[in-house]
Amino acid sequence: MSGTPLERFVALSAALTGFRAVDLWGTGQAEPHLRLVLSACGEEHVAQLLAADPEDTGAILADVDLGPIARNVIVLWYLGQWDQMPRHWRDRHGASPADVAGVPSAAAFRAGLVWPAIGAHPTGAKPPGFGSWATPPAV
Amino acid sequence: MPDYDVVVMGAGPAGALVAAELGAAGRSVLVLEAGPAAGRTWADYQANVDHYLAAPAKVPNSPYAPSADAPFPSVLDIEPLAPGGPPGDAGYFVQEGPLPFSSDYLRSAGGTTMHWLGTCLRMLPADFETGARYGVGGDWPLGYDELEPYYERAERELGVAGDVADQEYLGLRFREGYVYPMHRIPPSYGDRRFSELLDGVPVHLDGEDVPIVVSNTPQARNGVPNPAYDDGRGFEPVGAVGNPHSGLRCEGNSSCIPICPAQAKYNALKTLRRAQRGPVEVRTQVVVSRVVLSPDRRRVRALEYIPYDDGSPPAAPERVTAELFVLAGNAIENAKLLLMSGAANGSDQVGRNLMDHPFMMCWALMPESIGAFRGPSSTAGLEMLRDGPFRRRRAAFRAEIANWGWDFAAFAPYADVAEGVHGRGLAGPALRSWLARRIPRQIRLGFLLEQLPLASNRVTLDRRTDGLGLPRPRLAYDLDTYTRRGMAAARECATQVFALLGAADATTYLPTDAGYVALDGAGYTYHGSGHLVGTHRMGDDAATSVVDDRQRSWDHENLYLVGAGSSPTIATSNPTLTLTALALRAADGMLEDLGERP
Repeated sequence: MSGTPLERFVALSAALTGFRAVDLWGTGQAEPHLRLVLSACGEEHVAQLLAADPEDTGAILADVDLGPIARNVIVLWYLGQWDQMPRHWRDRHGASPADVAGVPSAAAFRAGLVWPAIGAHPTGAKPPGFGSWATPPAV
Repeated sequence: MPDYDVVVMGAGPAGALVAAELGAAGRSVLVLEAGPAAGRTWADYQANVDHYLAAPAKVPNSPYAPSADAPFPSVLDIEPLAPGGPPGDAGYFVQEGPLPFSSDYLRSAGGTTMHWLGTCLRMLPADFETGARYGVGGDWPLGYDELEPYYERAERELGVAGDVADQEYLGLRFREGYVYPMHRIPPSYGDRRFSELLDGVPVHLDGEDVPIVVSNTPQARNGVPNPAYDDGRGFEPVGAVGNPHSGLRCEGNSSCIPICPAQAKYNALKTLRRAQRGPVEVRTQVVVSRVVLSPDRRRVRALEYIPYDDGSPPAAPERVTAELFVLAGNAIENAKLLLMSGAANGSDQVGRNLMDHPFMMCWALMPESIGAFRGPSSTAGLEMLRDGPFRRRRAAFRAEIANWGWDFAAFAPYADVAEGVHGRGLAGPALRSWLARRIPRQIRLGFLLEQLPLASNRVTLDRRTDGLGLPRPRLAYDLDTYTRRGMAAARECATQVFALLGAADATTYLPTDAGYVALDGAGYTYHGSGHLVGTHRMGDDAATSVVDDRQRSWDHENLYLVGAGSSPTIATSNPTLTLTALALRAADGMLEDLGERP
């Protein structure tokens, strides 16, 4: 296991999202996203997640403790939105007061990966210019 | 001496425009706006954009902070009503039912144009006389030809982009040589695919074949000015309030509703700015609470209003006097104030005939990507079913062709991500490619259904009050068989269109939907269009209407009621262009009433 927790978070996020690490760094959201996950899920569980092998996302997603965190991390990257951890996870590990559904910031929303994934841009931000909508889609 | 020549309640499109026209003629005007001055500086406006971006539910009013003292409705408050149960009490409206009135509006400087889409279709000549032609709805006291010059002025004020050649259908006629201020907004790639696959192919409805026309929508969105406009004088687009470098051309933010970050789409702050070049004062956060009548009730003597500052106890009411008074608070706020004041209601029509365009969505998946989620929400529509003999028995409709996939029909793309991650257990490249194969193929039609004026669909006053102690509006609302038959025809139209496109229909209506209605064993779900129409109808008889054809109250000679509340019928065009044209016509009437300057 090498690198800082943030570097490991980005490497894992790249594997979970299907985007390159450089794209994730470029959003400027790696650090705030990790901070949010830490406060919502607790240092211990996040440390376990970051210790897992990012090459084996199947094992992470299948893990009863780590899977729900990983899925929330995917949604966070794709939509810039935090979903509350599932009930069974909260019952098992204790609920954090920071585990609240919502959009952490306008910047988090703007950085959502769903938009580039579908060949679009976040609604209300990064406008592609007059008439761009008339061109054949890239995706 | 009265305090002002004219006092206007409401700084939305109608109020701002009346103020601008009277101010330009040298008249002193005070505009009283219930909401805040939200967005009148660029920093403030951008704060609203950020508020929207960080909102968990991106509904039309999401950029704007709610207020207890000047509350406004939210679509998040709409809930199913139990038959025979107590009225719905969530949010600002008290919903008597049997169906929920599902539209919102905004109380703010700029009014609901702060979150409108910008569609600027003219009404059809037939729409002014459905009573005479089809025996339904009723007739306006004025016709298309009388309104036509005002439509031209309204298209200048709002800055409409369109091509006349696209609009000459179903009897719509334009002055010889007329062009819109700006060339049409480029059709989306999806519009072009629709045109290639559908144009000229008939849909079979009501026993007839009607050829499909994919029609570019005239819209109040800055594009490329047409040098031929105004007999060759051209047109200069009006940019953002507070930032001369922004908003001169649409830049494709794909968020017209709830907010155009560039202000390339018209909002009434632009007209308000123009108004303030004249002797026009604008006060915000003042709620008009009473129309004060003269002892003989023939004239309005004053408006009473309450200044507020959310969180502080309400101030004492103040009064302002004028020669002439204008209520431009929208169909619900105008009716509420008149009912609270016992004014203008000799006909017993105030608050009645509340209409909206029930908005029914149908959605499907194309076999190919059309690049959804790019461009203005809608750049084209199906307009060929806005009129026809079928109007004797069922509602007419238009359909907007959406550019934003399944957006609020199925909460795309949020629900798609949730389905991919949680439903299908996808991650990594598999998730990314699944989303890329699915979302760009999403198409949606949004049908705007005609609704007839019904005396029983009405605004009254509830005993429950807002933060200032003023009554909350109580709404009784239903969809009659005429409109439900229109929904059935629209659903059939969508089925045929999707089949012609080779698209897989994904439309779902659930009996648990707040706007679920049944007809002949089938069910349909409507939402609101935000089109508030009809509560102070215009007519040529004081016994059956509230205002005359200039929108002057029959009961009080110095009171005008402007806005879509004056429209006797709703027909199928989005109402802002028509209410703007009518406001210009009313302003001419007001100037005539005020006479020569002393």
